[in-house]
Amino acid sequence: MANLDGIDYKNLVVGKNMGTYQCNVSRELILNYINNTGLDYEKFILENGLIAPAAMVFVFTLRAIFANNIPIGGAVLAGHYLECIEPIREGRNVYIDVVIKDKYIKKERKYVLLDFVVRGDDGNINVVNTMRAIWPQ
Amino acid sequence: MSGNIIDVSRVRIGDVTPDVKYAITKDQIKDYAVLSTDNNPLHVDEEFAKDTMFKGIIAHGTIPLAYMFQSVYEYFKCAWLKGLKFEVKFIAPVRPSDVVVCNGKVKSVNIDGGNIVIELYCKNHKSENVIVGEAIVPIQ
Repeated sequence: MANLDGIDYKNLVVGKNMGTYQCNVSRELILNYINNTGLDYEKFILENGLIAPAAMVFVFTLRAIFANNIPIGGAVLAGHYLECIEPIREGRNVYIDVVIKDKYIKKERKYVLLDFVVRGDDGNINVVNTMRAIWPQ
Repeated sequence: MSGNIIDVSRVRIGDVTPDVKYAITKDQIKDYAVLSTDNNPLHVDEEFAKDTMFKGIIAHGTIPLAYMFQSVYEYFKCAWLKGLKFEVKFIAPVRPSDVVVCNGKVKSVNIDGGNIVIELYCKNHKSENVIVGEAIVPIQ
């Protein structure tokens, strides 16, 4: 994960757009994910080809975090919210915008919420995702 | 892709979605780290991980979510549900050699509200909840 040295929780700016990550969703990439998770490949073949299983979106959002050097290295995952809109199809590109949605302290733990919006080449939203993580103590 | 074609007449409160079971391995975690670029040493460095609060390597929290989704999709016999809302809370880490079992239970069928609510569970082989959550499936 990204190096946390010198990064302070208080310097996280709520509302800040942390950048956009682009990724080509090749057939090979989807198959790598399906092989990794042991899901049944045939279940994800639709009339227009292969789609990325819904949970594969977390591969893209994790990539977006590290590609944009978002300083959550060492953070512990606390929760996820996901809304699935349109499937991500093989061969397409996805563009993931990352925004710091919120930060708060509860029971002496520091939390950060990151919003991810995953769009396709046509600009339409495929998935929205909010990740809640506990900041390293 | 248009709305979801769901036969609401076959959905009953209390229905349990199919078990999706998977044995998590170190190799899987290592490969997932490469795939996701999340090389947090908690996932890939045994020496580092043993000195943390987790006392050893843990899986990326997002790995078992594949099986939670799959249980819902198998119940509805589809690969995608447009408008599906999925919210989960991580309770405990999943470790290499854990066998996770994911399923859900239909909590409500709201014809007027246009959705089906399913409680979600991911348990380890000790029957401990490791991830819990809720899926809200739009009927149309």
